[in-house]
Amino acid sequence: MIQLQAACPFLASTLTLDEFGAFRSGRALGAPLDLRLMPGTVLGVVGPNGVGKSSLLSALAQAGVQSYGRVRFGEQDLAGMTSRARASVVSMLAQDLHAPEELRVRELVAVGAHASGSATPESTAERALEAAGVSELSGRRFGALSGGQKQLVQIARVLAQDTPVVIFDEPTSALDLFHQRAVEQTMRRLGNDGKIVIAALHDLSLALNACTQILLLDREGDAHAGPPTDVLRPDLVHAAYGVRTAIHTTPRGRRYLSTE
Amino acid sequence: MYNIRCVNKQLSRTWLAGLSGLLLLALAAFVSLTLGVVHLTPTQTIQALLRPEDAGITSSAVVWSIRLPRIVVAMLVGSALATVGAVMQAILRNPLAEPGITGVSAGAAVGAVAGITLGLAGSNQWGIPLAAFAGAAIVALVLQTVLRTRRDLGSATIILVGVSISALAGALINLLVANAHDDALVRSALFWLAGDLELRSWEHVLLAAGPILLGLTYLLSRVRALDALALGEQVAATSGISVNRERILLLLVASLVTGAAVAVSGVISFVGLVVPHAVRLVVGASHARLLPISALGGALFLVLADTVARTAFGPVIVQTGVVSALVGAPIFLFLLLRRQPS
Repeated sequence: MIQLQAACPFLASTLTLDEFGAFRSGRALGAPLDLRLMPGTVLGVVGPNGVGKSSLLSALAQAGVQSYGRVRFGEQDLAGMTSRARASVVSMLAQDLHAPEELRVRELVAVGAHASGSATPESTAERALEAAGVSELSGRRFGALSGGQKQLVQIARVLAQDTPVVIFDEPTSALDLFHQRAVEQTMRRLGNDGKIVIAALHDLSLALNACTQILLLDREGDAHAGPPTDVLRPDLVHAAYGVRTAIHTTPRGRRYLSTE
Repeated sequence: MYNIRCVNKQLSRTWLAGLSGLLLLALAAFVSLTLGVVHLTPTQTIQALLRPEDAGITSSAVVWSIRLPRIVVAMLVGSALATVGAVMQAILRNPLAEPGITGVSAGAAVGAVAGITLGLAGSNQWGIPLAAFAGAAIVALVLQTVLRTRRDLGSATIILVGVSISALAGALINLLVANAHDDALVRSALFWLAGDLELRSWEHVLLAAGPILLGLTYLLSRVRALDALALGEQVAATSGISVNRERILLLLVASLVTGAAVAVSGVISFVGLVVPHAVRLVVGASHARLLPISALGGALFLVLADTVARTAFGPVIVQTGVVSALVGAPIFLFLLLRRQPS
């Protein structure tokens, strides 16, 4: 068992994976994972295309992907919960950002607010839009948004659900630099609020800065978990991606990864 | 403050759409009552409606036995098909989904023709609607399975699936009709297959009203789930929706409603496509507003289409489904061409 972060008193709200993994086309993806994620963990799931990052995330969220092993939040097995109960534990930003074109942004975000059982879904939605930095989009049609705006609005939907476990599947894939930084800050803030954030990321520099922990999956089915600078070591990154890299630090303390 | 005003604006827009829809529907129904071979003045029509015993045999018979049941059937079928269209578009996440195009209506037609030619209609008045429901449900579940297992195929696939299902349904109907042992049964099967509301009676109203109104009530109670399902399986599954159970229940109820509609009107396509698309432009895509206004809009659309069908073309016989297709097919083509490749 790889234990991420020192044992803490919030055992009731830890996310525990026992021999857990996802199936794709009837085949198990990678080695079974044993992880314990404490509140405040921001876990970046990284690895080359096709290793099953998205499948793993969907399996964790019980969102239509078959899985083996167990995933528990506190003592509760996520697979055994009703969908309604699970919606107050796990929320998810999917890669698929699509929504009906004529849907208003605030109505989309309200889906998250309703899932959380909010008594005042409208104001919950407005607050979430504000937290995602896009409150000016509230009255817009979804179809009129740019790709990046769609992603931020969907992130707002997840924030409106306000769950202790938040799953982001490539949250910055459509975003410009400024908004990438905003999402990075959102992820860190969620961690500071005591939530467990799990994000599939392609940008390893982002992973270095946004995450407290990294899970690196490679094509051989091996998994490495630990603090960002330990896992994104040049040798492990090379083994996974076949690319030589180095970690640098800017004068102001921000880390980034360069390729050679 | 700004946002509150925005919400209010949209709400009042929905009320406005609902109220004007109701008024238009009442007006269309009334105008439709006056038009036809026997022309009635508005006064005569009102008199025939309110005091049939004083209005004279002809006008009260025309209003009560011929035109009114036909109009009520058009309202029921129109609201059924439009609402089911909006529901299928959310569940299948495909703006082109509609009971006619996807072959669900064709499945219902196979069921109904089987019911008619095998003589189910004689033994039990619910025989044909139930058979139509079974046919529609089989197609709906096949459709959902195909689209789920082959998500890579893109959204226009639904049309190809619909074409093949409709072709198969056509073959089955031909087979059933060719082997029917009674010519009267064949005539009655072919009669409504064309999608016409000619000679609808209160019997048809009674037959369709129960399943359609019950089904629509259920669909209207699931608007939150539909909102979530329209965002995709992963979002719905993590937003408190039991995706598989919800989808199957919704599709079964949608099939029941479609079956009831097809059992009294035959296959009328495009209502479920045209109406929800137009309604979305007015009140948006949130299902709490989309479904009730679509039901209203569908009723209005089909009453108008039917009135045009039976009055506008003189001696030429034009079926309700033909008018619906004349309006709907070009819009369908436009929507198809406008879609970006996914």
